[in-house]
Order: sequence, then structure tokens, then C-alpha cells
Amino acid sequence: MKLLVCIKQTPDSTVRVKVGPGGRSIDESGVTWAIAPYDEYAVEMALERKDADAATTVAVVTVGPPRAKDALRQALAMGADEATLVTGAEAATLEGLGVARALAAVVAEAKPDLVLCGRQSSDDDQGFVGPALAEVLGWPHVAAVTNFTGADGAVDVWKEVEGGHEVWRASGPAVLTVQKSEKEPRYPSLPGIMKAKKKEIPEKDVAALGIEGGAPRLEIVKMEPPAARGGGKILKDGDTRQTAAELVRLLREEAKVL
Amino acid sequence: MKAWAVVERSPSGIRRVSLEVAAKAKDLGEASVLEVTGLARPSALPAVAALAKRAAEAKPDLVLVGATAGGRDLAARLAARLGWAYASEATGIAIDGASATVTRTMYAGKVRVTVKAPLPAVVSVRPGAFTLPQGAGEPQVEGVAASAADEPLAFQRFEPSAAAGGKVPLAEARVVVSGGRGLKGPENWKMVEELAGVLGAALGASRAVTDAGWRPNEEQVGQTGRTVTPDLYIALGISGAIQHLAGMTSSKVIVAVNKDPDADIFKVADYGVVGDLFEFVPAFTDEVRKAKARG
Amino acid sequence: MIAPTAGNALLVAVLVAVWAVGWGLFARRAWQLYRYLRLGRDEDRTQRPARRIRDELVVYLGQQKLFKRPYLVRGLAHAFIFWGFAVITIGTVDLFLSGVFGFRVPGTGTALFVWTVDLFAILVIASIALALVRRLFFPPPRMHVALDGYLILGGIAFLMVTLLLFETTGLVAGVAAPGFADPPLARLLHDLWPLGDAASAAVYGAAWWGHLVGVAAFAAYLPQSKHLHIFTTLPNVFFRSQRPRGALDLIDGIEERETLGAGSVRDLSWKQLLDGYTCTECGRCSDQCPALATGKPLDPQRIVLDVRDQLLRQGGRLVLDGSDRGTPPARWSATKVEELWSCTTCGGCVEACPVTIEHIDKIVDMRRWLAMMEGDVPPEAQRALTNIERAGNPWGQPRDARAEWAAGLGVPTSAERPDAEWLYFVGCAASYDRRNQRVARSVVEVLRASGVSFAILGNEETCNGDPARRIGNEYLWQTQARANIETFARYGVRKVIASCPHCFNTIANEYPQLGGSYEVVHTAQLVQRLVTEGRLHFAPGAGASAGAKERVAYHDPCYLGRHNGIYDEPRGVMDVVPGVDRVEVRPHHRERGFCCGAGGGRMWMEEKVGQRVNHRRMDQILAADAATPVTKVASACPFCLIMLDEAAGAKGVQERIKPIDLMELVAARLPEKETATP
Repeated sequence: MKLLVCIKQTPDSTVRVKVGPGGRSIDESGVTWAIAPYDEYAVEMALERKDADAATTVAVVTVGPPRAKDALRQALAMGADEATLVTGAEAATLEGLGVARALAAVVAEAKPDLVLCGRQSSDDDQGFVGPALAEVLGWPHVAAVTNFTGADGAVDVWKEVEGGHEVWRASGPAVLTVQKSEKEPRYPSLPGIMKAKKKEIPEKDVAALGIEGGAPRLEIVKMEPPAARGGGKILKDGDTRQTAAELVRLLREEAKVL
Repeated sequence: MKAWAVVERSPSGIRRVSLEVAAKAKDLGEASVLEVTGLARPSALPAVAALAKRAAEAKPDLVLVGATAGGRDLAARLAARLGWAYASEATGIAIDGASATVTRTMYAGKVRVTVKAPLPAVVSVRPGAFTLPQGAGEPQVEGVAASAADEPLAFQRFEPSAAAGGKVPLAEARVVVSGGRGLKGPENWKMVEELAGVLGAALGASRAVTDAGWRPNEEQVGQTGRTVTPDLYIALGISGAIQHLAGMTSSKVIVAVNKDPDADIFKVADYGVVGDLFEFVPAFTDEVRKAKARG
Repeated sequence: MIAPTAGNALLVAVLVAVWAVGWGLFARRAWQLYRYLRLGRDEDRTQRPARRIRDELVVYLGQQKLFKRPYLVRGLAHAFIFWGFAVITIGTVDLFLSGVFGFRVPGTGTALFVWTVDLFAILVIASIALALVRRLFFPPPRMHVALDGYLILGGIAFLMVTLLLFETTGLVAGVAAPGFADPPLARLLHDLWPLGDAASAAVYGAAWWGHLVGVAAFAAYLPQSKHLHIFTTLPNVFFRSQRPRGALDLIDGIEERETLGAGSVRDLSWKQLLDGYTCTECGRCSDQCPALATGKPLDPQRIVLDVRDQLLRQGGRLVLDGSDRGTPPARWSATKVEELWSCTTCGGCVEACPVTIEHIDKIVDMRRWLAMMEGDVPPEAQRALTNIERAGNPWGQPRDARAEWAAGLGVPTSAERPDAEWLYFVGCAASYDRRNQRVARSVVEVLRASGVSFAILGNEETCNGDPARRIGNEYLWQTQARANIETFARYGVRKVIASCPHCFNTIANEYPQLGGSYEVVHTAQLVQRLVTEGRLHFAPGAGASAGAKERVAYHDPCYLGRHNGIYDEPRGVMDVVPGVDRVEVRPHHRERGFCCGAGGGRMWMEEKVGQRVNHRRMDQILAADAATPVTKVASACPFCLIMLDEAAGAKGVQERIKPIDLMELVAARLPEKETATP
């Protein structure tokens, strides 16, 4: 089975993202970059499939600036077989439907059986590209996937819903947006890291992909830190019952949430 | 300005977030409230096909959907099909001539942004972002017929969760009671469930306890779990690591109970109780029960 | 004595033949074992030859490690057996030579020699008797009571008895050699001897032959049993690691290596395999192991013996395979993996082992395989590693929040004060953990009060890498170490203060492996020094509290104590701080200190089996209460503090006993401080 995983390189989750001087984008200085968390689960899910069935190949692709190659190398180090970087002057500003179209061009060439990606990236938090890619390809998609089994023509996909999972069967190619994999994303072995360092990562220029332009874009007008919280009341000493009653009163009368 | 509100139904009626969205649509312009009908199980493709067809005829400027799991899925695909701008999890919308000014968060909730989306656009709306006006009844809903034949995937079965968490689903809960390591072990969750029961709340958990297998993964609130936006979030024995905060800081009111006065959760809590949660929670549950009984 | 073979060529031939067979079998087996040993990876153990010779004399000949408490008496018994054996061996050689060539080893006729032999004969017999009684009636829990042990003890006893018999009967039968002194015991027993001349001569012959044949049989049996240790201990001590105690070995050229760590016996070094041969199965390492004591599957003795058993089981096949590495030896089984992760690297096993076996090196080598070749590490530990890699600290806290503990204190960074004398390397725990941030602030107070010129790296400091190295990810450790070494170089850092023993250990003992050499002190050592130099004074305490002492237990952190021999300085500090009455947690203190459970990367792993190590430690500390209760327990390590805090909370004793750091104790008594409670 041939799997293609679409990933995005985003600021690592430990980074305290700060608003840049222009007030419209983040301050990228000192940011550690990594594969977006949900995308990492997608890579892991593909690799788990490969562990179970040696005939599986896992390819990864990303659309982004040159530094996104590091994210691809991380995926290779984890065990992916090949990686492609879609870059170029336009790649840095491509978003939404534009990205979906660029990825669709890669998919058309690679012809995978399934495309996986995280259900949303941790920079724009939109969760758009997965379904959009499916739409451009004209493929069905399943969101919030936690597992899949089966072979060509009959792939069962577990979709997380309230209270459990729905199992849907895909009889042809589909896009899966991943919520969580069975296991935590694996830590790459050192030989894996070394091999990945030496691996060739072909680059494709967005401009050369021949995608139609004219995708709508969101313009960031203002960016600011989240509304400051806290400065809340701390109830500390005193009788437990009194404190409990006081809290109920505050929630009822002051916060008006009870 | 023509605005659509696409509503979703739960077994007990139109979902609250859909009502909020419908009210907002009415606020913004000439509103139509639509519901996709004719599907035994909600699925994106048939709904998108039906709505896109209707959109081609009716030509709305803005389509609003409540940002439930299903809603986000539907909205994204619809926007792609129509080739329209898309913004997810809006906390505020205003129309400004030929664009919509949307406020939302980015970077896993670490920053707030105001973006301009050129109309026409599809926007999914965060539950609880818009308050329902008092005494608002159910809106007039137009059905949009969808055909299951448009769904190439074949539904096999539903598998309920083994340890199905609380009875209230986490995603759109108005109140969430969340437990962390401070509860010491899975056997102590009775207390959490009781409080949740009295409050009609969903159950949440920190990553530490879902990783340890104390609670099912579906309950995990945080960076790689769910992001929740309730009116009231009660964190019990949770220290407030960044990854957890990322999943709940947009809650309207945060209450934290922890024995460590220096716990980070107190930095974001609106009300904090420093003390032994094994003593406090039962007492608090009792007081809530009494207060609710009083009416 | 005149040999029974004297003048009889046939008997001489028989004697030679017997010894040829016995020693021949010995040599054959020894050669086979040697070849198995050579299967292991190369390792250079020739550094510091003078130290090696010294260790040989003190540890091997001097039996130094045998005498540790609580094994003193047993240690003496063994020492007597060993020394006795050595001395008596001269006699045995003498016997053989006289039996074959009629030639006596010079000096064996002297009074000194015969007295020494007889003295040791008595000591040996007494020790054997003691050992047999213990083994039969009071075997310690970790001892393998096996046939092998009885055979050895019986064999030695047999040799001693035959020795005394032929000495005595030789005297009786009048076959004493002229000019040779009479053995005193023989003299004694001579008067009690019941048999007549002829019978005695027969007994003499039998005993003489019995003794020599016995030795040959012993030689043949030796390499099949753990008793081989009498030979292998010689090289095992000589080739012991001369690295600083707390340092693990470096994997050089790590990026070019094909295999990393030990996935099977072939990947272990020859020295590690030699350890397997040398294990005497005494179980002293097991006695000290905190994991075993609390019900974990790890038994350090088992780790060593399993290496030996695997080697013996597979050695034959592997030796034949020659250089063909295509047929890999068996990988570690699933249970072994669980054992490996249970280790806290506390060093109790290494400290206790009388024959200098290096348990931790083996365990870490096997972890290295799991961590770097298979990427198979317990998930929580894996997360800690990923966090170190991405955020520079195992908790995954933001890099730019590293110096927040110092907010408002005006602590200069190296960038602001490049000419500072000392670098205070704060460490991840004190930087990010709430409880330990207070300790960092206490350190700053103490440094300022003593006028020490220092700076911190602030956000440029990154994890020293110790957890990564202990978990087995050598590569990550090297990456972290190089980053810090580079930063140190940029600021011309030469002297480093560490408040965490893990930072201290790795910077002092392991960074030099990558070219970073500095003068490194732990805060306990520094305070000791400052007090001696008169740069640090204490306020005696005001009013009623003056003269009042609180009882404070001292908990030895493993990486300060066992791994670095720093036992006295923290105690010295406690004794000099007014108002502190130091309590020892006997017998688990100093070299026998019991681990808090956080070492070896276990801080970031779950304990799923048995009692928590830190809870057991707290039990021991609470039991140190004598008539007057202990109100505080002081340690000098942030992990110990976290673990003891957790234990106190879990046991509900946090009102009764408060875990604190040594530096908090010191800071509370600085002049201009009124409060006595940290």
C-alpha cells in the first residue's frame, strides 16, 4: 500500500509564541520548528501501518520555506521512505486552497492509495487543508481518524465521534485527517537520523506546478497575545464547607455561570 | 448581506451552538437558517453537495456553521468546493463592506488575531462565542435535502467507547469538570463524576492521566487532545502545564482546585481554591446540589 | 617431608600425569573462555597504569572491598580463605616440585613459612566451617545455595585436612626432611596421634597424594564454576574502570557507528564479559539495590550472571562463526528490557561489589541499544528526551522562561558580566520546578552573602544532558554537552558552581570527554570552602531560638555521595550551621545510602510495580527518629527534594517532616535574616 503524508512545519509546542514588532505576525527569532503535533500523529500512523505490513511505502510532503526540510528529515528519521519539499518564492505565502492545490499536484504524480495529514496544524489552527485537498482531488475524506486497517479497495477507517468511533469503509483512494495514532510518535533511532541526514530531498517549485491561482486569502489585520487572565480570587484558608459555599455564591452571583 | 446559518441537531433538539449561530446570522443581515436533511448518519460530502447546489442558486455572502467536529468538517469542505474564503472557530464576526472581519486564535490558541476574509466566505463559529439572547425561540429552519448516494464511503458500524466518559460530550459542553494527577488514581474519579453529574458537565482530563490509562483518551483536554470552550471549566488537581492550558484557556470562567499554591493553573484561574481536593470537592458538590435545589 | 614418590619413577610419572590432566583440563576450558571473551568489543583499559597496580594490591591482594559493613566478619572469613589459599599454594607448588624433582622451593623449610602455613590453615578451616554453617542453616536471602558452593567449600576443606594430615603423619612416620622446621600444628597433633608408625606412614602417603590429586581435580573443576573468580578477579580488578566514578564511557565518532550500545553479548566489551566470569554470586549488589528492595524485576546480580550465561550458551557457536556477524546472537528478551529500565543508576551495586564488577555500564550499554538503535524507550522518558531536544529541558517548558526564577533578583548573566569568576549552572530543575526555584534563590543569597563573583547563563543555559545519557541516548547527551561547552567557551568560563549533583557530575566528570574541562564544585563543597576561608558567617539566632536545635536528617544524594565521594562536606556544612542537630539515617547512609528513586532518568518514568523507591526511602528516614523526632530531612539534590516531597505528601507526613535543601538551611541562617525556617 502506498501512503502519502502531508505535513507542516510549525513552531514547536514548547515555544512561547510572541507577537512580532509589526503586530501582524509572530516573532520568529529563537523559534524551534518541528512537525505540527497532529501531523506527527499522521506520520506515526503511517509508520505503524508500515511496521505491520512491510509492503507499505510511506512518503511525506510539505509545502513551505527551505527550513521545512528539517521537518521532512524528522519524518525520514522516524522511518518514512521518501520526502518532497514544495517550495519557491510563492510557497511562503501560500495558504488554504492554494496549499491544497499544490499538494494535489504532488498527489496526482505520486498516486498514493491513501493520503494522511493531521486534522489541523498548530499555526493557523484552521483544519482546512485536509478536506480541501480531498475536494480538489475529488476524493472522499474522513476527519478525526484514530486508526485504519485493510487493503486496497477495502480500507476501514475509525473516525472518532461523541461516545465512540464510527467505522467507514473506503473502496478507493481517500484523505484521512488524523486525530491520534495508536502509539505516541516514535523517537527516531540514531541510524535513522543519520540516514535521513544524507537522504536526497527533491524540491518542486510551486510556480512550476501549474496550479491555477486565485485562491482566497485571509489577511491578518492584527495579532495580539491572548486576553490576560488571572488576577483571580484565591480562596485559601478557612473551613472547607465555608469555602465551598463561598465559591458557589461567587459563581452564581459574580460570574453568573451557575 | 445574505447570511446563512447551517444548523445541526442532537437527539434533544437543535444544538445550542447552532442557535447561537442562527441568532448571529440574523444580527448580520438577511438570514436563512438551513438544515441538511435526508441523511441517516451525518457525513460531509452529501451535505456539501446539497448546500453547494443551494448556494449556487441563492448566492449567500456568508455561510456560518457551529464549530462542532462535524460542523468544522462540513464547513471546510464546503468552502473548498465553493472556492470561498474560510475561517474557523470565530469568536467574533463583523461585516465590513466586501469582507468579513473575523476574530479567532492561532498558534494553538497562543495568540488572538483579527483577520479579513473576502466575501463570500464560510466561517465556523466557536460554541459560546455569541450569547443567545434571552427568550430566543427556535428559528424557522429550511430543509436542504441531501442524498446519501453522494457519500462514496460505506458506513460499517458504530463502536461505543469502552470506558465511555461522561454522558455529556466534551466538545460542546457548557460546563467541564476536569481531573489531573492530583487525584492520585483512577479509583478516585467517583468524586469527579459526581460533581459533573450535579453540574450537568462533561468530563475532562489532563494528558498525564489519559497517558497513564486512568481515563480514556477522548477526555484529554489540551494541545493534542480537545480544545474546549465552556462557560465554566473546573480543574481538579491539575497543575496547569502549558499544553493543558492550550486546550482550555478560552473558557469563560476557570475554577482551579489544587493543594500547591504555586501551581501554574492559578495564573489563569478566575477562582482558585488552595487546599485538599479530597475534602473540598465533596463539600463543593454538596453546596452546588443545594444551590440548584433552591433554584 | 620426604615425598612418597622419591626414587620411584613410576609414581613420579603418575603424579605428573595427574597434574597434566587436571591442569590440562583447566587450560583447555580457560582457553575456551578466553576465546569467548574475545568475541566482545574492544575497549581500552590501559589508562593510569599506576592506579591499576595500586588497585591490584589494595583491592585484590588487600581484599579491601570485602570488609564493608555489614559484611565485616564474613569479609574477614573470606580474606583468610584467600590469603590462606595464596600462602598454601606456595606449599602446594613445593609439594609438587618435591614430588617430581625432589626439589624444594627455597624458604619452605623456614620456621616462618611453616608457622604461616599452619596459622592460615587454622584460619581457613575456621572460615570454611563458618561459611558452611551459614550456608546450611542461615543462608542470606540473595545467596544462591547451590551444589557448586558446597563442592568448593568441601574441596577447600579437604585440601586443608589432607595438609594437616600429611604434616602430622609425616612427623609421626619420621619422614621429615632434614634441616626443615617442624610445622607447629603437626607438632601439636603429633602427641595426640593415635596410630602407630606404619599406619601413619600409610596415612601420610594417602594424605599426600590426596592433597595433590585434590589440587589437580580442583584445577579441572575451577573453570566450570563461579570459583573461577579466584583467577579472573586478578585481571578484573586490574582492568577496572579508572574513569571518575560517576562518568559513563564515551561513544566516539557516534555518527559513523553502525551499532550503538549492546543488543547482545557480542556488543558488550571484553571487560564487561570478564565481569560475568568474575561474579562470585555473593549477592552483595542485590542487597544494595533500591529497585530490588522495592519489588522491581531488576536484580543487578542477575544482569551480570545473565551476561555470563548468555555468553556461555552462545559462545561456542559464535566463536565458530568467526567474523560472520550475519547470524546475530539472541536479542534481549522482553523481561530483560523491563529490568533495564528499573535501574536508577544509584551505584549501590558497583560500590558493594568486592570484585569490581561494573553493573551500571552494562545496563546503560543495553539501554543505549534500545534508545538509539531501536528508539524503544518508555513513552514518558521518550517525551522527556524530545523535550530536551526541542526545548532544552526535560519538562518541555519554554526556553525563554529559563531565567524567570531569578526575576527581580538582579542576577547578572554571563553576557552582562563576562568577567565573573564563577558560573552558577542552575540546571533545569532549579530553573523550572517551583519548589527548586526557591533553592536557586537561596543559592544566590548565599553567594552574595559571601561576596562570590558569579553569573548565570540565563536563557543560554541548556540541559546538561545527564538524563539523556542515563536513559541511553548518548547522541542527545553529546549534542547538549557540546552546546553548553560552546557557550562556556564563548564566555571564557573556567569555574562552575552546580547546585544539582547531576549537573555537577556530568560537567565535572563527563564534559572533559568532549574537551570541556573546568573547575567544578557542588554548592555543598563551596559553602564548606567559604566557611573555612571565613567568607561566610552565620547569625547565631535571636532570643529564644538561640541554642535551640532542630533535628535534621541528612539524605546522601547518590550522584554526590557514591558517584563522587562527597559525603563529608554536606555534613560539615550542617554541623556548622547554628541550630541544626544532624541525624544520620543509619544504616542507609554514606556509601550505603538508599536512592531517592529519581536517578537513571527514572524521574521521568512511571513506577508500576512494588513500593515506590522514594516512599521506601521516606520510611527509612522516618525510622531514623530516635527519642526526639526528626523535623526536617536535608539533601543536596533537586531530584531528591522532589522525590522526598512527593513521598512526604503521599504518606501524609508533610506536617511532621519537611524535606529541604542544604542551601535553604544555610540561607536561613545568614546574617540579616530573622527567620529560622526556610
